[in-house]
Parts: sequence; structure tokens; C-alpha cells
Amino acid sequence: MKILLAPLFVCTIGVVFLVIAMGEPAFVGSRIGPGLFARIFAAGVIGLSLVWLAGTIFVRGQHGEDEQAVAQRLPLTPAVALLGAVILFIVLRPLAGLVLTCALAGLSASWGAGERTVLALAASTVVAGGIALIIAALLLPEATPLWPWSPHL
Amino acid sequence: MDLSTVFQALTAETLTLTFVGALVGTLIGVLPGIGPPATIALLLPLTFTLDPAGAIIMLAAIYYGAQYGSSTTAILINLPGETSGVVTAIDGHRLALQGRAGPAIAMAALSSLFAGLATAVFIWFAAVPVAQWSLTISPAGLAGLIALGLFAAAIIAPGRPLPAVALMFAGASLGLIGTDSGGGMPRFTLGFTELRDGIGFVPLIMGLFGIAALIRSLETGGRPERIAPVGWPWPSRTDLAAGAGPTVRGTVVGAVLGVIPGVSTVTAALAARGLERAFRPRGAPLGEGAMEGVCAPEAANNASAQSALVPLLTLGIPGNPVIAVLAGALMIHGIAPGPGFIPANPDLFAALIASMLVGNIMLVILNLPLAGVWAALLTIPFRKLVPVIVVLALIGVHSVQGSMFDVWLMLAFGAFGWLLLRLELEPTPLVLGFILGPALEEYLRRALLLSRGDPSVFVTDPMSLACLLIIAAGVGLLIVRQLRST
Repeated sequence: MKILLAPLFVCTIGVVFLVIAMGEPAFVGSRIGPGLFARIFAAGVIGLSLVWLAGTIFVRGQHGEDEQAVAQRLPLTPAVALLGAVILFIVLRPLAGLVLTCALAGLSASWGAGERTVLALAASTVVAGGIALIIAALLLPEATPLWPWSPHL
Repeated sequence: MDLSTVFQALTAETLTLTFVGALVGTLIGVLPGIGPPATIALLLPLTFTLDPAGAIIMLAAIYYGAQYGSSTTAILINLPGETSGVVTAIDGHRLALQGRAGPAIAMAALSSLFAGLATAVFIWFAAVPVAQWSLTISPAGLAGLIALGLFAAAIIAPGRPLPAVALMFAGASLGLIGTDSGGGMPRFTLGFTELRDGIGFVPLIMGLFGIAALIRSLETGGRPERIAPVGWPWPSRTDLAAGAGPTVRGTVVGAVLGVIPGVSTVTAALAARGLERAFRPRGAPLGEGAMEGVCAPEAANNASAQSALVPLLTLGIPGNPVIAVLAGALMIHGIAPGPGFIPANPDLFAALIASMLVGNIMLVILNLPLAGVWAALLTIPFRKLVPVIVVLALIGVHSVQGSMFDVWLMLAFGAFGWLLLRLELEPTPLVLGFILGPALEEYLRRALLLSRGDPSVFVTDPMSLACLLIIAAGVGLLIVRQLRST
């Protein structure tokens, strides 16, 4: 089943775009409207992914599970930690200011990268916060809130 | 335009930006884990303070600098920092194991220098006529050329063609989000006012090539413990004699193939190596530490990296992910690459060529005496760099417009890109579609407007017809190949 996931995933994207595109007019009077090419492109995604799906099923029927089906077992930690770092930034930046937020995002990214000792994690946190402070001082507007107590926060 | 205008473009600013770009490019080429698309995406916000010429010079220098840097790691540890070094590694690492890492690195740098200089001159003379010719192409012809460019990129690039074309259509759909250029109506915005100007290029690229690629590197990465000693980085006369012919042939192969959308630097390097095999005497195969196996692919990958700018600057067609990011950078700076770009921006074009000429010389200076320094950098564990890269990405994306919506977009595209990579799908076609989709729509719309809605214009226009026939022939060949293999 795993080898069918990729075409099904892309097909779903096409379906989502087509559903939204159907809400846009293809023609406005005699002019081409915003929906025409949007529908054509979305239909292209669906059509091609269905051909791909059919081809995958056909090849699977001929040769059995191909090597793609034997998916590598990859660790989830990097994805969870790095995407988590981005979420931390979104959530904390309006509350805690840039420096503290970046420090915590750095901590999360460092964990995702495989650091496990307290010292290494602390060092990454400090470096990440320090980089944010330096960038803010050199490149960002003065009004950028850096700390939880900053006036513009 | 004569070549003297190129040297007039060599200002202190041009030289500084070229040096910074070459230095950063070498650094990321040396360090496996983060490639040129992600680095260029990371640095995009920093270039907003520069003028368009400065921005494109620095970003282009990063791109071809990475080709130089990747050869160092390819030779020393058999693990290139950039994919193009894979081919160099075959013979280069053998040479390192034989204690000849220094001469191999030196020959790689000198081959890249020759290729870089020759290709810069080639671009100067080839791009202007192509740009003039492109002004005469009808909208239907341009639509056909874009479709052909996308198709070529899909079938030649690594990976399977059918998923790549499907993802290009998906990217084109993403590119349509925003305000419809025909009637000014919002499209695909789902009520978000932030989407009225379309999806930001920086969060898209940072998500797909930055966050997603970082996660992938951490999931699959690894680095050997032992690094071969560099030794004296200077070749002998025998090395120079052995490398001369392959360098020239590699340059020609790379410069010609690089112009074709979809031909990556790896493909060019492989083709040059394949050609070199034909030139080898019987009983002396490549792959056992031959200098020819270093020079030919190195010349080819550097030449193709630079000549890939020709279709972008003349037709607006980016053929690979890095060129797509460069195209996005130009657009952010208010310059649309494509027909009319060179005639309208002769100074920018001259500055770009000037930076290539000087940048390649700087890169040899950076790569030869400092080979030992770059090798020492390989001892820094990648995990130490990850938090720094993530923080730079976060601040970079947020600072572009001061918008948290852009960070949300980066998160969404990071997760999306990671899913694509998990499903063994490359995100590059999506980005190519994203950039070219709106242009394709615009030319299709104009062609239909001029023909009063008659779609037969696409088969009566010679350029459009030729493109459609090439695409049809390509599809036919793919089907035949698929049927034979099953």
C-alpha cells in the first residue's frame, strides 16, 4: 500500500485545488476569468497523478512490491523537533520577545539534531539567543521587541 | 555590448559581494548537509538591503562557489557537500587515499577556473543574441517554450518524470494564489488578506529547501571519522598535462548541457565523465584514481552551473532549483527575468558576468591555499550548525515583512516538503511550477486574447507547434521506454 501513498497524496492536492477553483468563474463575460487556468492546472495534477497511480498498481501487479515499498525506518525526532522549533517561534515570539524565543527554538532544533547532553543543549540555546541578539542589533528595526518586558511587545 | 563594459562593472561593491558570495558558497559546498538552494534562500532576506545587481551577484557567487567547495569534501571524505561533487568523488577520493589529495584538489580548482572563465565569456556572447531573438517570439510561442522548459526539466532531472510533471502542475496552482492578473480578482486566497499578493517566495523556499532539507539531512546523514590529509595542493606537470584535455572537453559538455532546462550539474558531470571514458586508452579505466576523472566532471559541473543562467536571463526559464531561487530573488527585487531582461538591464548583466570572471579567480585563491582550513571545518559536527541555521531561517522569514503569517507558511511548506521527501518525491518541480505557472498563464491568456479565443493559435504558431511536437515526441519516447521496461 505504501507505494500508492505518493500518487494518492499528490492527487489529493489536485482535488483540493480543483474544488477551490470551481468556486472561481472560468469566464467573466467574454474575458478569461480567474478560474479557467486554475481548473486546468488542478485537473492536470489529478489526471497525471491518476495515470501515475494506475501505472504503480500495474507495475506492482507485474512485479510484486517494489523496493520503494520496503520503506526505510527513519527517525521522527528531527522532524518533530525542527517543526516544533518553528511552532515555538510562532507561539512565543509575541509573548517572550525575539531573544528568548530564538533561544528556545535553538534548544528544540538542537535536540532534533541529536544533542543529548545538558551542556551541549545549553550551549546551543545560548548561541541561538546570542545570534538573535546580534542580528537584532545589526539588522532589525530598533522597535523590534527583544525581551518579554520590551515596550513594543 | 562589448567585453569592456564587463570590466567597467568591476566596482568595489561588486568585488566585495562576489568575495562574500564565493566565501559563503565554498563554505556550504564544503559542509555536507545544507545545499545551495537552502543557503541562498536563507540569505535572501539579507539581500533586500542591496540593489538588484548586488543581490544577484552575491547569490550567483554562492551558487558557483558551492561547486568549487563540494569538490574538496568529495575528494577528502567521499561525501560531497553539494550533489555535483558525487562524480568527482569517484576518482578524487581514490587519489586522496593514494596520498594525492592536494594535487587532486588543485586540479579540481584549476579545471573549475578554466570552465568558469570560458563559460562566463560564452554567456556574454551567447545570451545577448538569444535575448534579442526572444523579443520576437509571440505569446503562443513563449507559452510553448515555457511548457517545453518545464517538460524538459521534469524528464531530465533526477527522479521519475510523471510525478515531477504532476508536481509542476501543483506548483503552478500554488503560483496562481493571489490576485488574478487578468481581472484583479482574488483567487485561491480562502479569505486570507495576506494571500492577496500570493504566497511569499521566501517562506516557500525556506520551508521546502530549508526546514524540509535540514530534517532530511538529519534523518539520513552521516560523516566518516577519517579525513585524508590534504598535503601540498599543487599539481605536477604530469597532472597538468593529464587534466588539460578533459578540462576543455568537460567545459564544452557542461556549457552546452547547462543551457537545457532540467540538466543538473550532476548530469553534466556524468556526461563529461562518460565522454572521458571514450578517450581513455584500453586497460586504463576511470575510477581508480585518474586525474581525468577529477578534471572533466569538475569543469563540466562549474560550466553547467553558470550556463544554466542563459535560459533564465533570456527566456525566463529556470532549469534547476538554484536557478529557480535566483529567479525568485530577482522577482523580489522587482526585476522579471525573461525576454527583454538583458536589453533593459545591460549594467546588471555586465556586472553579473564581471562577478563570474572575478569570482572564479577568487575561488581558486580561496580553495587552493585554504584547502587545509576547509578540511578542518569538516570536523565541526553538523548537529552544532542546525540550531544556528534554524534561527537564521526563522528571523529571516519573519523579518521580510514582519509577518507571522510568513512563518506559518514556512511551517506548512516545511512539513509539506518533508512529507514529499518521505514519499521519495523531489520538491524542485513544485518550485519550478510555482515560478513559471503564473508566466505560463499570462502567455496563454495573451495568446488567446490576440487570437480572439481561438485555441488553434497554439498549432498555427511555428514556435508553439515545434514545442508541442517536441513534448509529444518526448511523451511518446517515455511511454515506449516504460512499456519496454515492464
